[in-house]
Amino acid sequence: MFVLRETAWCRMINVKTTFREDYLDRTFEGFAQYSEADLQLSRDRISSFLSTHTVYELLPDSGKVTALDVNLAVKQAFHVLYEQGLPMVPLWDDFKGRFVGVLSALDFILILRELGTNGSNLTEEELETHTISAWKVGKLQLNLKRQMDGNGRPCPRPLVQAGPYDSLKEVALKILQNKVATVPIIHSTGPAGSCQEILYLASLSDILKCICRHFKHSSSSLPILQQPVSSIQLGTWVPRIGEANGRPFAMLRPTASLGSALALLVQADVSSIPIVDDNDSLLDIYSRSDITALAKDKAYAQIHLDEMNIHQALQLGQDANPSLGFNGQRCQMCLRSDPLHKVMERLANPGVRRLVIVEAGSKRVEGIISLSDVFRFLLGV
Amino acid sequence: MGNVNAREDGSNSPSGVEEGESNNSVQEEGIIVPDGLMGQSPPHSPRATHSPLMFTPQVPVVPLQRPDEMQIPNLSWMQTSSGYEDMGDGVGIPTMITWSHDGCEVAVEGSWDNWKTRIALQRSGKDFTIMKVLPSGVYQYRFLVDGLWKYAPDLPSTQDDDGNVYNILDLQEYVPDDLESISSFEPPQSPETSYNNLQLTAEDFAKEPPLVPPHLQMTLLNVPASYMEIPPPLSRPQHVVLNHLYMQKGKSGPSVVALGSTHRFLAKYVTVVLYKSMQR
Repeated sequence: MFVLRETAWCRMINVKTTFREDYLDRTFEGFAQYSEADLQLSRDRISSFLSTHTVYELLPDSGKVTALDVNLAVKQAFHVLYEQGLPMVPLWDDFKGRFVGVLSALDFILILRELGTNGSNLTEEELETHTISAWKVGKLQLNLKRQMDGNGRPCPRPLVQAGPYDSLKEVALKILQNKVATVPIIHSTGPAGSCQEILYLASLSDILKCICRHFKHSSSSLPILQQPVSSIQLGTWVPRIGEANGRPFAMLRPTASLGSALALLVQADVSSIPIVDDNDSLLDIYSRSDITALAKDKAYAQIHLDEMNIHQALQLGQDANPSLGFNGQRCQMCLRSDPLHKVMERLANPGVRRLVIVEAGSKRVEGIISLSDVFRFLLGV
Repeated sequence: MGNVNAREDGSNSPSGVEEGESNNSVQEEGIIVPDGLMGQSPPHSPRATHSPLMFTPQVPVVPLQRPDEMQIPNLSWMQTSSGYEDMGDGVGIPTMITWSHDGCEVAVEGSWDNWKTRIALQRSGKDFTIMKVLPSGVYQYRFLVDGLWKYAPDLPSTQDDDGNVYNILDLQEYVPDDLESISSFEPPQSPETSYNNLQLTAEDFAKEPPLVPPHLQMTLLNVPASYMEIPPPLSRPQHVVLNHLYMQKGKSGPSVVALGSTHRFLAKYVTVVLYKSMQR
């Protein structure tokens, strides 16, 4: 196999179906079809646009923000997130008089896994009295990429936040560097910024929407946007046969257990996993935020993570929201030949955080493009 | 603090005004000018600004024409059927483009259709105007005045790499509040008399609490939760409900209270809901 690969260049014309045909496409695409100058020009323009516009522009005319007190019980917090349909909430500490963190879907995934393990400190009854702040303290012990303080003890991460007058570029870089999805926008007034007013929860998709809005009608000023995503190698691609690619691409069958899905989300450090059938064709997608569907009818209390499979877990979410079907909101797709501007416009829709790259016709999964991939590319970081 | 309402969804107004006697002009939606204290115009009528926006979009208008150039052909199985309109193919918003400098014949070209068509403006008095219905977005345009390309110096503009100057139209889905007319809206002074700070006695507690002004029921907090993945945008709150604290007990759990309030931040409005547990 190894030898065949080396001489593939000479054998290109005679390649039979031992290699998949798209290997051909892939090697030719390696040739730069865009110039470095185009790329740099587009990046400069976007950078200057983002530096001159502020977060204030992202705020809707009339918006709503939900926050939780840090002394609320975890169980009730879970229900609030489910009822309000929120993927994450900022946390308010009355005693300190400021926002101290966020509660997100990842927290619930970790809690559920803790519940499932025997010998954990957390039981279902305790969820009723276990406060969010106690959970956050306990979470530090779980040793997930935590920062260490001087004594080697894990210390809590300070809240990643931004102000309404920060530039969009600062916020985008903050989101990318801290690997968060959403940043609370807080207006601090008073002595030493002691009085905090929360205004909005900003994410990369809001910033992308702003970019698309401004450049939609002058796309010639950003030439790189016309390039197909395969030529600029945007996103994470399923490694091909014979490719020595570092990261394996996470995918699961619908019959896989929910426990394995959650484990994969945590360990692979991804925010979603495509659910595929035996031919690797896309069926659905399981994201971290889908975990809140388990609050329906307190399903989390009755299930064991290893006994429920992903298909059933997704059904729970579907029953709650019958207006969404597959191929509607849930699973946004694109082709490898789609130009960058099309991918950006899709990702600019609120609620869409990733696009699955599929093969036309068969819907085989070829890769995933997320918002952070697009921004890393546009900002050149 | 003020009176505590026994009702579940009552409001806890921070002002200690006895409702019976004082005038309610602060909370009324209409404009009541007591003794000429407020001489300003009503808070939300947009003043004529330099912005080309002169219409308040009331109801989403079906676009009069759908320029074919704006549609991206989609394969049917890849249709993105969102809960509401895709940005870009969205509802058309009427907007007026005006040229108020001299000229005999004025036409306009813009990036809304990729500079393909040239539309003649109609003369009305000293100005030339045309109305267009466009989806929300940022557009560039310029005027052809008696055969020469010009831009309107009093409107926002930008320059491209070749040194050409174009006017910019930033069309939002809503008409932003005119900040000056809001900031200058000062509530009238409360009357000097009729206040004291005597402790409330049992007699006072025996009385019925004063009724909540009905306008305070118009809070955005009572908008029913939408179960779409992307809820439709909230409407702009009435100024009367701003800066009031609302409480809701027991709906999200036996010992959970929700506190909600709507505030203004410059020209935007934010409704914040905080869930707290009630310590026993």
